[in-house]
Amino acid sequence: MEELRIYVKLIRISMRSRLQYRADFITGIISVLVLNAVNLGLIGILVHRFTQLHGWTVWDLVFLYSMFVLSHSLYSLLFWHFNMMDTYIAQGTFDQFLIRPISPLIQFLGREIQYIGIGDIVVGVAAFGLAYSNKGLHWQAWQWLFFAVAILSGTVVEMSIRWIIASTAFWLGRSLSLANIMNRFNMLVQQYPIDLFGTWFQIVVTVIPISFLNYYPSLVLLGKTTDGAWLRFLPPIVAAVSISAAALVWRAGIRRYASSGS
Amino acid sequence: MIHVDNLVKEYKRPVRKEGLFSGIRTLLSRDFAVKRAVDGISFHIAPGELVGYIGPNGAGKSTSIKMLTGILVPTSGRIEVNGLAPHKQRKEYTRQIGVVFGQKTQLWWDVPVIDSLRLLKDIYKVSNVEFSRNMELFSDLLDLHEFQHTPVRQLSLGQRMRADLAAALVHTPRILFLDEPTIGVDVVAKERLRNFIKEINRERKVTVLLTTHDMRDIEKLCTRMMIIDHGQMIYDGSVEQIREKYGRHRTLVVQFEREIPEFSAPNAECLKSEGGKLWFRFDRLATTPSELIAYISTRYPIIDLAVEEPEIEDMVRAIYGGS
Repeated sequence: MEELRIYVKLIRISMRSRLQYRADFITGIISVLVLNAVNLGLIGILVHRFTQLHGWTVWDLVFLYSMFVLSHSLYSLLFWHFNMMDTYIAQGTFDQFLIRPISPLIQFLGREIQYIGIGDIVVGVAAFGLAYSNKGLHWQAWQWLFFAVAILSGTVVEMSIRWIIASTAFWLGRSLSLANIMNRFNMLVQQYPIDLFGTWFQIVVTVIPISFLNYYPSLVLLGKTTDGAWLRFLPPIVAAVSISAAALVWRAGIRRYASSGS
Repeated sequence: MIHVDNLVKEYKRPVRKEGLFSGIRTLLSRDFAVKRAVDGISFHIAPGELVGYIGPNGAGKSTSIKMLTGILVPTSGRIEVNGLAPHKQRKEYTRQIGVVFGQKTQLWWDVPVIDSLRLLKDIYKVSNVEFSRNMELFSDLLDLHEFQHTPVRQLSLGQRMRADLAAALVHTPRILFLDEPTIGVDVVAKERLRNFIKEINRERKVTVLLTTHDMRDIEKLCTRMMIIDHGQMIYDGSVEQIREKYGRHRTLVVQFEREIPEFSAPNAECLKSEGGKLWFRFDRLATTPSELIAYISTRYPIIDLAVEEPEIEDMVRAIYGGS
């Protein structure tokens, strides 16, 4: 808890740093809004032509998209900084996290929050609202609860994947190319139902559980599966496994850093 | 206070492959080249000492400091500082030490200095009383109040270094590791940094280990110096001793009435001559300045003379060369 308190203070400082560059702050948020509008527009055009995509209507797809963006928004707000870790390692600035009496992870994440995640939240909420009303959904309590758990689990899953990728920099020096590959997967999973791309792709994005951000929860919430009962419990389990794996890789990475420098 | 026994640090680097897919093959290969950056160093530092740690680039200074601060784990050997093993008891240990890396600031770049210091106050759980006492000290000795509301990125290098020193001392550590604390700083600012370090060491009994390439830092600050080269300790002793051992030579500079040809004196060789001025280098164990002056004055009338002590830098160069 002590560490969490320090984390909040660290974030407050990083926010203050950010706000010194106000124009950058505002254009950043606008750019995210535009980017998402373009994405959704493309889906709209696509489905308008075909009315359905592999059994998914346009509002199904908007729903799928919104779930991804909501999970992703929390990730990008709080944990986007993992993408910067290889720079800290390559330049040796990671040293500074090892000479203070709080955990290196907290110090590292406290360096920056990615305010453009706020743009993602706006888009996510709007897209979800549109999909919910246009599909005429009326959820019961358990569905809302599942929805919330799934969003948070999705955040944890993406955070864990990025955490692992960032940690590979302890061995490889750089992790940018892995991060870029992940961005590609993200884009596909975000916009399309994964079964569209065939079994192999589905297996890949299930093992690297990025599809748990939106696809599997959407199957449950949109009633697209008959054997959905066990799927309901899966997202938090997948999240727990992912974050445990990531923590192990991170610890091994720190050990490696301490024995090799950079 | 600091006990180091037979400290070794080896780096393993993959051997770079040539030819097709060299990057991938280097990555997958099991061939490693082992480099011993620190090769069996031992020393003890008593509480309150102010020790200079010097050596040429790549000698192993930074690696040693990184092990002493707990950033790196030794390959073998033992480090014990104040009863703690730096990398094992990191949280406890880091509370007792202050660290400055002259090359990299630890402050938050875009916010005023005082914000960084307040944050460190929270991180180290420094009480308000202690914090304001320290701030007072920083104001007195570092003039911190002059720039504490300025963002770090707008500070001059000298100011930034002062701010970094303050940041390393917010939690009143008992041991201070300074890795090139005067690098790139102008002469006036250097002097001020030195005075501060000296004051902290004397008044607060903070044990200081500092690395530098500026021998004046050592002369002004340290009573003891350790010289490391190729990962090994090649000298550990007082600055005085090194003068005795390696600084036996003095130079007598004599100004004559008129231009005269070069000549040598017993036990002294003439180094150069310039406009009636001659430089004689002599071993002070073989002869004395007065003997030398007596001899020279019998040959030509002398107007002025001076004895030059060797620069410590030259002595250190002699030691590096001799190892």
